[in-house]
Amino acid sequence: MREVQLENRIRVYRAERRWSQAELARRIGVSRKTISTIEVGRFVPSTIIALLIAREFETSVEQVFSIADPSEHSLNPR
Amino acid sequence: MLNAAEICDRHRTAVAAGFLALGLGFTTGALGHLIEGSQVLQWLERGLAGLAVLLIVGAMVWKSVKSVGRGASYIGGTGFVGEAVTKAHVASWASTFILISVFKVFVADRADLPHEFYFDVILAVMLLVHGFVFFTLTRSVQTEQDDHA
Repeated sequence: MREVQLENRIRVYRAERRWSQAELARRIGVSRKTISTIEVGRFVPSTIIALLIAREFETSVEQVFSIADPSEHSLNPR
Repeated sequence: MLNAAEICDRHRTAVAAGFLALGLGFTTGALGHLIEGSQVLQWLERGLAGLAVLLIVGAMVWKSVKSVGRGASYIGGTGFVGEAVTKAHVASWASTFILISVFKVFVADRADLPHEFYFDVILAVMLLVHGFVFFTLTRSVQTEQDDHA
């Protein structure tokens, strides 16, 4: 059974706004370590954190986060 | 300037370090039952207990002082360090449960060592496992540099 991998574009959105990890962390009320580990895929954020990140970037959660290769994780194998 | 979440993360880290020191203290206490009359072990146990109190109480005081007048919101325990604490708690609980079960089955009838020895061992394992798991999970994060985009 493979572990589901969560991908994100947080670094891209941060770069567009010239925000550091610390700046983004301050804006949504978490530590920089949390942002850092989310970006590298070590930590899966809670729903609240994911929504807050998307809100800060003024976009949807699906634009920021995605599941790597969705076809491998279908509940109904073809 | 630290935000509220950073303060809480540092508080959790200091408390985890205090637990680790306390675990080492109980370890020396258990060794003291095996090596009777060792002044070194007694002083080491007291020193570690004092260090643990300093870290845990100091962390509480520091957090209270740093939190005065702060209006910024903070999202409970849903961050990376909060999750590391939870995983450490789980590992600690599981190892303690296993150890107590082993003691119950294999050493319950033994009288060659005082009860305090077994309490020290249980507490030592509980706290050492907690500290080991927590600092293993958070250790590699320390060197990551922030990129000022």
